Amino acid sequence: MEEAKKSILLRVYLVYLGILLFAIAIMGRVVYIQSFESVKLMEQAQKQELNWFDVEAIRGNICSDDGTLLATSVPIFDIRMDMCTDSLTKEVFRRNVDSLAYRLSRLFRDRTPSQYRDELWEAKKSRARYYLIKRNITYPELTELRTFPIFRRGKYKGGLIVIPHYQRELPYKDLAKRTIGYESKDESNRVFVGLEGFFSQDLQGLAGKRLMRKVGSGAWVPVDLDSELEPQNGDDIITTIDINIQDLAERALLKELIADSADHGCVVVMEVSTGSIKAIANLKRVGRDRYEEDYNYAVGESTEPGSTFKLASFLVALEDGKVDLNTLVETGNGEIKYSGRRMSDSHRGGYGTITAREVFEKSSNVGTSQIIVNAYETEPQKFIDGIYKLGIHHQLGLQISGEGHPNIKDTKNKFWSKLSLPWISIGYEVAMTPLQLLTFYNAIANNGAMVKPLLVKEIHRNGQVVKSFDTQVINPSICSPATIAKAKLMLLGVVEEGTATNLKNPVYKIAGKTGTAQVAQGKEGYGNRGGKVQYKGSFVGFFPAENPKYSMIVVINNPKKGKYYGAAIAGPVFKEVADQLYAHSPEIHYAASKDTVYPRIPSSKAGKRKEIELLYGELGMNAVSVNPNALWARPTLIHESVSLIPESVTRGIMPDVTGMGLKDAVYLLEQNGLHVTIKGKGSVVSQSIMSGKQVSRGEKVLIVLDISSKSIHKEEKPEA
Amino acid sequence: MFDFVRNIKGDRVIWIIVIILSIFSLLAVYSSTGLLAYKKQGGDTEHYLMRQFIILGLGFFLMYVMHLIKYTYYSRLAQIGLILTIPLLLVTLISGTNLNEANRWLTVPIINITFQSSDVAKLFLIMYVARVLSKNQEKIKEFKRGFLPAIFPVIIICMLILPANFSTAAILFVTCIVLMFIGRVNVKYIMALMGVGMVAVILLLGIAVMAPNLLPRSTTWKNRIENFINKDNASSDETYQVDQAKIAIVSGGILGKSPGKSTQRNFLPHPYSDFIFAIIIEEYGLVGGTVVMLLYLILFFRVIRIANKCPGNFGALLSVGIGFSLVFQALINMAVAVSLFPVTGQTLPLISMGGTSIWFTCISLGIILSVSRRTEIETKNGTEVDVLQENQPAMA
Repeated sequence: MEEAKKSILLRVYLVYLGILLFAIAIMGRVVYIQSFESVKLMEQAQKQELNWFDVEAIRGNICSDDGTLLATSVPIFDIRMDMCTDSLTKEVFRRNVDSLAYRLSRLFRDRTPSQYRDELWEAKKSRARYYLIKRNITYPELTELRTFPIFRRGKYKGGLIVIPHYQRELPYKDLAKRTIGYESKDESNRVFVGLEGFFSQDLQGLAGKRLMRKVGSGAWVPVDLDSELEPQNGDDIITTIDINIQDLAERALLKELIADSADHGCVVVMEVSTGSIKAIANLKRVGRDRYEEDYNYAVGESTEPGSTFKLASFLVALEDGKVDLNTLVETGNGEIKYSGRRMSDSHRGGYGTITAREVFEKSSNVGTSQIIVNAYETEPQKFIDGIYKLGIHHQLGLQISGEGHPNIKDTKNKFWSKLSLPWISIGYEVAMTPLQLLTFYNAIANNGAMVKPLLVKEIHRNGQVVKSFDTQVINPSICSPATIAKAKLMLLGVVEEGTATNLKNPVYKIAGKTGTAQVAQGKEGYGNRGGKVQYKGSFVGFFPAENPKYSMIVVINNPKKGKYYGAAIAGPVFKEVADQLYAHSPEIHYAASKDTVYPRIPSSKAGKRKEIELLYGELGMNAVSVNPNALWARPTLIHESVSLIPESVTRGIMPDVTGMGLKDAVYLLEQNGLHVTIKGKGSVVSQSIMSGKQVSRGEKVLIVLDISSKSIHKEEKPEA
Repeated sequence: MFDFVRNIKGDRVIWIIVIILSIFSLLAVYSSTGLLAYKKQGGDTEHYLMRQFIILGLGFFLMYVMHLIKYTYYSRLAQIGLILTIPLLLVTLISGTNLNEANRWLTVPIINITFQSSDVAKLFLIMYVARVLSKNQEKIKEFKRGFLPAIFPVIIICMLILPANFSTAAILFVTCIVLMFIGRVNVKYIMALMGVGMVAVILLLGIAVMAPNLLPRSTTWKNRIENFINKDNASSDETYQVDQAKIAIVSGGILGKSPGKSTQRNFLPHPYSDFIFAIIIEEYGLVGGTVVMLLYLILFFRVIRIANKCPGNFGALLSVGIGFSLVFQALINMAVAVSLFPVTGQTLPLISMGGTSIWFTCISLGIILSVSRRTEIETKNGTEVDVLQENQPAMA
């Protein structure tokens, strides 16, 4: 027993000796590295650098009211090349460089093949590790580039370095550009205007961080995946803008501006009950017949409104009982002097004695000022208080920066004079922006409730609503219902028998007011001293007059072709937009009569259920939704009527996109993270992954489109 | 509390070494988790320090509990434990949580703690081998009754660990062989086994090269070994780690950059586990590295002293076996950090950041201290109960 124990102990010490030798070897190795590899390693350590880099978060989208993209971030790519990657030998390079140069030249068309070849050779010889081939190429260009010789070998074998970044794009180009916003050209810092600026916090997201180490000449590679902080992509902004109305407004405005060679103009369309801005167009002349969205006149330009302001004067006087629609007013020969200053009506010779209502409808300056002066001469502050009570002297507090200040002075103001009362009553010596004026008129249409203009209704994160903006009421009742009713009558009268009879039509009724203002040219006043008179023609109103759906303002500045009356220059724009809007809004008028016999039911692509429903509804046909909650549907013909068969869409499951249009199909597939390759045009006829199959992010799918295909499905009838 | 302190028995030096190593652990983990904290805890750099502190505290408690248990019970426990280990390893192989492609981890349901089943297997196997060897001392030189009963479980367990975790299986195998050598098994048979083992490893590598799909981990092994042998052709990613560790060692110099000043922690992929020894040298220099090394050597020396004093063979073999396994793993980790060995993924016991692996280390130390504690009590009483008990067939 003792013998065994002794033997065991001896062996233990032997093992300990082994461990000791191992330990000495390790420490010896440390000493060896420290003394003999020091120089080489310290040199390497000197070269290596580490840095945190921001990982760009994708800026959120700005969408129209139905989710159509108005501004979005699209990836673009910088292409660089590592000439020294291991398997890109000189031999491989020599064999392929000519055809690579040729294809690069063909793709970008910025250098000749031989230029490309020489540059590539030079880069190869100088052993460049980060040679710039081309900046800012698009995704389709990248896809093609990846098939080129050498590059098709990929990152490690071909040295292809692709650096993605994002570029802001407005799919509808100039449409509502100033309101949607963009990054201003200021070099020193990023400044966004419009909604881009106001909602920048929401849109920009949170940049991620990535630890990178430097390799070779200026190239950085990530240390590892551990050292990465994922970026949080920006939220999407859902605006109230309707892209169709916007397009309509912008085109109508442009046409008139060109016709008048006007300096600039704006159109704003608002939904009466909600204050939602459906369209906001601003155009400025930048050259002969060339106009651009450059400044947000509708929001920012606070100027003397002129005759459109008379509505405020009348409301105050009506509310105070100083006048009624039938009160007779002496306008004489259309001229009157206040404290020696002459005021005249545009209608030469005057109207004589007319009713107050006619004063408004004919926009008589003399009549309006007479009513106000007679009523408030002794107590002008009461008139101003009446205007303040309407609530039009405050800024609206919009979801966009740069709103102009309304300026309605009171009697204590140092610029108040004996002339102020009569001139304010006809819209001078005060200032308002087009949008503020529209908000005021909208309140009349909305039976007295003044609502704040709404530009953005929702903020979405990953398709979910994270914040919604409701209509805000500024003043629940700007005046008594009786006064509202009278105001409506007068506004209707303007179109029916007043200054804007050119807007009259037999189909529906428009109510509104014309405005023709002379524009003060700073110090030079109103062009009396030699300078040419500048005019501003406007029309603001709403329709259909009986049950208003939309309100709209049109302002056109400095027309140069002779016409300058509000009705003549702003009126046609108003009418064109209103006519089209009326014709295209099924909510406003009755649906097409149902007794027409349709020879056959037209087909529709599969897509969003609501859109298809609306489409068939528009055609006067009833498409029956099998599941009224389904988001996606496929119209199917059953017994001569259309049924909308719900299309199930589940994350991670390949949907059936056949029969859909490109937009819907790509949207659905990319939602699942699939990389979509597209062939042909029309609607989808086949997809490379069967529907119902499990799919994972990054998987590739090919869809083939064809024009001739019949999109509508025919239910196979068992009896036929 | 007073009772608790008074009840701490066993080798005082080992207790002190554990405390010093724990302090090193806290400092090194705090210093090397900056990046991880930045990423996962939103910059809360104290998060991992607190976590490690709590884990070490719990480990200390486990160690205390284990050392109170009479070590002879471990002999019986080894039998049951080893049998239970086999299905555990099988389950891990088939369905373990996939970390770094290796099925090493098992999640305890309900409390949701993951642990490496090989840690459990390691402990029970060493216990079992110690038990078999001590029981068969009379006929230990024989092949059938001495060698076979000891080697059989070793081969089974190591084969089960091997597919998922080559290095742990290898270290465990070597530990058991060393233990058998100490336990007086005929060297002839051990040499023969080594030969067979060599052939097996070569065969395995052959399979790995020919049919990499058969063994999912084989590509990693192949790469690591290729890189180590053939340094010039190594892929930049693998040599990168080695180079960064070397830079850490060089920049540490004799006295180090001082605590918390490591810059290499940002370049090294897992500074808080695999390469923590390199970070220690960077911050505390050759001196600090030597101190850590000495701590492990002293630890093993104290274990041998316990084995020496211990009256029975089981206690001696148990403590030396466990002690060797611990120190050997530590040396392997350090050898990797100084690029004497290819990258293995072995942690530095007690120092590397970790959860359950630290607890298993503490349990191991607790068992060693249990042997030491018993010996103290028994020498005081002048009886040799231990020997008597061990030789009783019923106890075996």
